[in-house]
Amino acid sequence: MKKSKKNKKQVSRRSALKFTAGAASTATALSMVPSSLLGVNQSKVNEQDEDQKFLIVLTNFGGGSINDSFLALSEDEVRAAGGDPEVINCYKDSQLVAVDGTPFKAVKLEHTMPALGNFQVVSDQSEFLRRHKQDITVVTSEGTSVNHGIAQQRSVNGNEAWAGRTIQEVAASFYGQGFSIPNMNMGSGGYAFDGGDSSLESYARGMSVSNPLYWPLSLSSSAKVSGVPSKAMMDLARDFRLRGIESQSNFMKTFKDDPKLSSWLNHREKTRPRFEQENLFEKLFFLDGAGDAATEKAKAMFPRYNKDTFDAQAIMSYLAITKGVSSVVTLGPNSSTSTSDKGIYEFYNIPIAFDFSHNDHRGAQAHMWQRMLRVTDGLIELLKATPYGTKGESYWDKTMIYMASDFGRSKTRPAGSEVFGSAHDLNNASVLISPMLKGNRVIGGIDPKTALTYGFDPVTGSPDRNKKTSEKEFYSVLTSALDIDGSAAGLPDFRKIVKK
Amino acid sequence: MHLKSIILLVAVFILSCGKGKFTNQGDSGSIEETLNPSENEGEITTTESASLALGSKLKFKKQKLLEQEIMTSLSLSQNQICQELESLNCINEAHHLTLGGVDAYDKNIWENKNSFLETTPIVVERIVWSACEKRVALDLESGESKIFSKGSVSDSSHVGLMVSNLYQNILARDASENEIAAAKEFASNLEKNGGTYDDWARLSCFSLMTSVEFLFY
Repeated sequence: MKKSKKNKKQVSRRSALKFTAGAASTATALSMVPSSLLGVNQSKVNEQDEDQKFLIVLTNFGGGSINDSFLALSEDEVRAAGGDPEVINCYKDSQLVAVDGTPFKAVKLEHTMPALGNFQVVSDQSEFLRRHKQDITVVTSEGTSVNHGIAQQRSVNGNEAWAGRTIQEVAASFYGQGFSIPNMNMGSGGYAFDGGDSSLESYARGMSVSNPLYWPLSLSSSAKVSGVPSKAMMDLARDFRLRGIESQSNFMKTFKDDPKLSSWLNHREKTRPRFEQENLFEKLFFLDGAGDAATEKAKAMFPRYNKDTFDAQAIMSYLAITKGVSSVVTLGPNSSTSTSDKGIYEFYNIPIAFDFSHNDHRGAQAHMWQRMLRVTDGLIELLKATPYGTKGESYWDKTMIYMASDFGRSKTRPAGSEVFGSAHDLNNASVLISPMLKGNRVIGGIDPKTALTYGFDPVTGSPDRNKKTSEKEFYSVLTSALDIDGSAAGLPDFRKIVKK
Repeated sequence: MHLKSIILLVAVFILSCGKGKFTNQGDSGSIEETLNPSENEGEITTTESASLALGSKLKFKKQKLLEQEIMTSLSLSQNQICQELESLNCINEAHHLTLGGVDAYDKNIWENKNSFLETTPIVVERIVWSACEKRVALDLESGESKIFSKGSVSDSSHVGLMVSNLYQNILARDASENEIAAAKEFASNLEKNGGTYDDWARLSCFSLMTSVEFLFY
């Protein structure tokens, strides 16, 4: 098992922070202070570690059902198992595409959504499956909450599997040292929450990103600000603020030991100079013609960025990873509606995303899965085309995508209905996509009679009809897939089951 | 030499270097102590609950309160404070989450548990700079003169008067003699570096309004 990075004998960020005080002129002091803390540009692009891994969490906001994507059931399958295909949420043969050499199915559906003004959904998951089947692992799971916010949190923290740490925080803790913003979180609702473990290294906590179009402005005190004077004058002003104003004040004398003040001053005096020195704004801002060739490629892949936040998030994710800014990114649709210039005749994001399944399950699931797979495919292609390191690898070779979902949806429908509403259901499965995993398979299984998923034997990995995969076990699949030692948190080691 | 002593030496050296050295530094030891991170990195935290658990008595002026305070201090309307990319309201649209606000409709964030984020000081500088520039422009160009009146950066007496106005408008108190002296020294340093009276006015406003005494309560 790969050892925790904390066991390595290196100057950890925690101990290195003890030294920091900005640039120094004393040679002795300089030689003892790690360069990363002197504000020297420490772009991770120039230090491409062989053991580095990247995690992308794509959030199926509202509840993406595996029964309407890669584990979709045909009517024949349900019937052969003794189930009622009229009642079970299953598909006609004409609505499914069986892709050779894979246990998965692709839903291919054209559907009219009366609840959205007869919006026409056109969905075909088969091309994605053909292109990426070898990297896809579907892992069954069963949650414990049908509340969106709580379920969203549990889908990433395993229901307190590791002291509340989200998988993003854990991944950033192990693989994010030295990155400017190790854990970038563009998620919504419960996916945007911190894990709440106060002992987590502060660098691993998620940086909340509101709108990726404008958020890079918060990385620079002067970019796109009119009338800002020279850096020399600004430095004078900041120095005056610190030593001419604050040092003089009774306020500072009274509250100098306040932890909130300490946090603020550390962010102001260390984070800002570091972010500006590392040119984070220039790396991540992509409006108004800004950016380099890589940015242009990303914008070409996701051209809707001005109208569809999900496209903008995808561009941000690609830039953050490949420009050495982040090791973990979270992105996904939210509950807001977005449309093209055609208005309600062409939705990008339908209202409340996957949760519109309450009104029209087939349409919502088909449209949203298509939306998720479109962005996923684009990200994979960009990462594949971006070299990593010196051994002929790409960023994709180092990446795992986890498509998190609040929960599943109910497995039954009014007899024979194509237009029906569904409720929240704890039973589901999630999609992992990565060349690092033993792909093209299901960990667990699905019962065609009931459309319910079942778990796996934790020792052999074989499907086990008598078991459900718990949230903690699923979380352990994620940590194992990322080669992270979770034994300190009592997590089982599933590396042999999951990894190549 | 003990490691912590080296840290302190470096910190003190840095803070005494550079242009515009302040001779009247007050209790400068407090800044170094406050800047040095805690032994336990987890204590440097920005969540409200964690800060309270550590005994914090301060609150950051979040989004709406910050906006109101800037409007009142600088006699500006909401739209005059700051616009990103000439179209987005800085406080309510572009940086609302960073400033501790919520985003219920788009991101389903109903409660912001963070007091502030790592990037909040940067955002505050952007906003305050814009607001101060607006106030100075109105005062010196349109003749409204709420805080600043025309003058010269080398006119010590005038600078002192303007500093008093600034403290009264922004911090709602009188500036002490030491604070006025420090501000005069800043004006002098700025002039040596080619700064004009306009520059001094904007930068003084910026420095005071981004200080912790204004931003926390």
